[in-house]
Amino acid sequence: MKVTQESPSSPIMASGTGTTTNCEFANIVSPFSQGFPEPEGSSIPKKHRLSPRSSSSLTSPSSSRHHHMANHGDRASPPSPILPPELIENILSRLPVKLLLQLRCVCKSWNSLISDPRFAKLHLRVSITDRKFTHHNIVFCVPGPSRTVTSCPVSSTRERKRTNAVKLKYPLKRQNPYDFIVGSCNGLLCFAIRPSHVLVWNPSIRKCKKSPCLDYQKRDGSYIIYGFGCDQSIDKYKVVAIFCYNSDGRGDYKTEVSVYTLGDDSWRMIQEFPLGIPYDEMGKFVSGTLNWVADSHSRSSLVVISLDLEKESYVELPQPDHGDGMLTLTLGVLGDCLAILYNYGTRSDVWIMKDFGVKESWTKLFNIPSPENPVLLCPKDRCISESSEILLQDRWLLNWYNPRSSSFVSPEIQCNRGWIEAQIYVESLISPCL
Amino acid sequence: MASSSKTITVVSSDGDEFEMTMKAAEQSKLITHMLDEFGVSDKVPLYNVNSETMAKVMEYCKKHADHEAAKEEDGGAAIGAGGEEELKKWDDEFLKVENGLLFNIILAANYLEIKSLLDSSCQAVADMIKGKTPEQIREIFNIKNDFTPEEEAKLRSENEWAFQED
Repeated sequence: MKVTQESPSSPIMASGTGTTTNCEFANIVSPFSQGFPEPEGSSIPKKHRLSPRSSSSLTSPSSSRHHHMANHGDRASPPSPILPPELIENILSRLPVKLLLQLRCVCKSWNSLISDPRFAKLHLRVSITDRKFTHHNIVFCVPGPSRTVTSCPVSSTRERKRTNAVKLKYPLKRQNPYDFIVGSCNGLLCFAIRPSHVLVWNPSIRKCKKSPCLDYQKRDGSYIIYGFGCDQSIDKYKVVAIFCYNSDGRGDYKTEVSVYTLGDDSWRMIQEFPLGIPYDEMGKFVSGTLNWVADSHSRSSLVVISLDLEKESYVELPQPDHGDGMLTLTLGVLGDCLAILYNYGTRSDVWIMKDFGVKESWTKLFNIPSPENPVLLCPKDRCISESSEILLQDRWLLNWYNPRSSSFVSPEIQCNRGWIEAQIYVESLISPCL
Repeated sequence: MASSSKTITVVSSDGDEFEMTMKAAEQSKLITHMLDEFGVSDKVPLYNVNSETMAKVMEYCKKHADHEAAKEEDGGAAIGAGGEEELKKWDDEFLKVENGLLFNIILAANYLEIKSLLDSSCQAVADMIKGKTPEQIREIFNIKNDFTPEEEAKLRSENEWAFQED
């Protein structure tokens, strides 16, 4: 007999045990236990049954001999067993964001599940740990009269030599040519919008939030260095703006530091930068901290300053013993560790701090035989080893560097000619709007 | 190949008995736990799993137990670099069954706490969902659409772009 879906009372899903979602699931048991006639080929295990049934009341495993064609009317096949919410969640957490947004229409409980911030975090964890970077993209800013933002998947830059970048729908109407990317965190991109705002945008779900105005006294020779990250203790995203200005016209720079917590209606001032002035690089977010290279006159050297986003206090990070001859250093994030790149002119050494804050945990991974000062892009968010391939940005070229063979492979990316900025981000459901 | 002489018996909800080696049984955390608690001499009742599904689960546990044993032997030389790839291919073929059975495998893997099988089978369903419309998905999961047409239209319009091709 044909199994229809109207007769059982709204069979959405059976409530599972130990479910921790906030969603409302219909508290029903399998329709078959309500006296619904069991169709031929039924092979539904029941969570509630404790004693074995005699084989006569259940048909033999004949259903496995049915050729099931999911898209057809299925007159012969029985309906699939109902999966409890935690297993639906397990399955859905593996899907791409765009598809999940479509699946909100399937039914009310799926809509609740997919819209739940808790599910967004589960989905993020699954995406981040994907070994093949299936859910990571590179975003490019292409300057010009109508500035464009494009994106392409990281995985296709590794697999194929030629990739197409697609244009993203940048949420603000007017694009100032001096707007730039501050950073990315958990699928959120942060842009600095001149002169005094920032924009936090999730391009995968097309939601954005513009910050309130940052009040500062613009002076000659002043500039702002930003950083974007997450205060994991309260699960809120923060933008840090370090306003650097020449206080007395003599070249002595000072700082004023403000923080915008996503959801607040204003910026807050915090302690100024403790040592030196940050270099012209945006802060790197790792382990709940934002990190900058700073130029310290009192030390006549470059130091690394770390801001703890929870405590909103600074420490100077110890650097590894990298020897002499260093020309410059840049920070990066490789895997889930802070990385330093020391440039010696003909090569750059890449070190990572395996235990955040612990000097002895600095480990030299490999060196890159290039005179350039490449920006470390990828891998982010997961483990890295001495033999992991890394994605570098060398001015306006992307390169996959293989440390084992010391070779570079430059992926060819179409439709984004003239790009000047690149940033890795993961596709996520995290919303900047609270 | 080193094989454990010990076998245990599990009983399905249909009353059928299945024999499995200790090594295969170790694939399931639940069975391992039950054996620790109650000993190996009795038959292990697994009344939440029917015979059709049990047969598949037995096959999976045996395959993965054999694979692990081969890895241990010769320090992994027997498996070689392609070994993991081959196992993955075997898993993919193994899961090419009709939806009802696949869902039962998921339920069984969850109940028996066989993490690798749960991961593979959930991934197989996720892969199956890609490219399907909401209506097709409702059929697969046996879900009733409890939105009114107006509610559904409103929801769609909120994310209209998500329904379009890139």
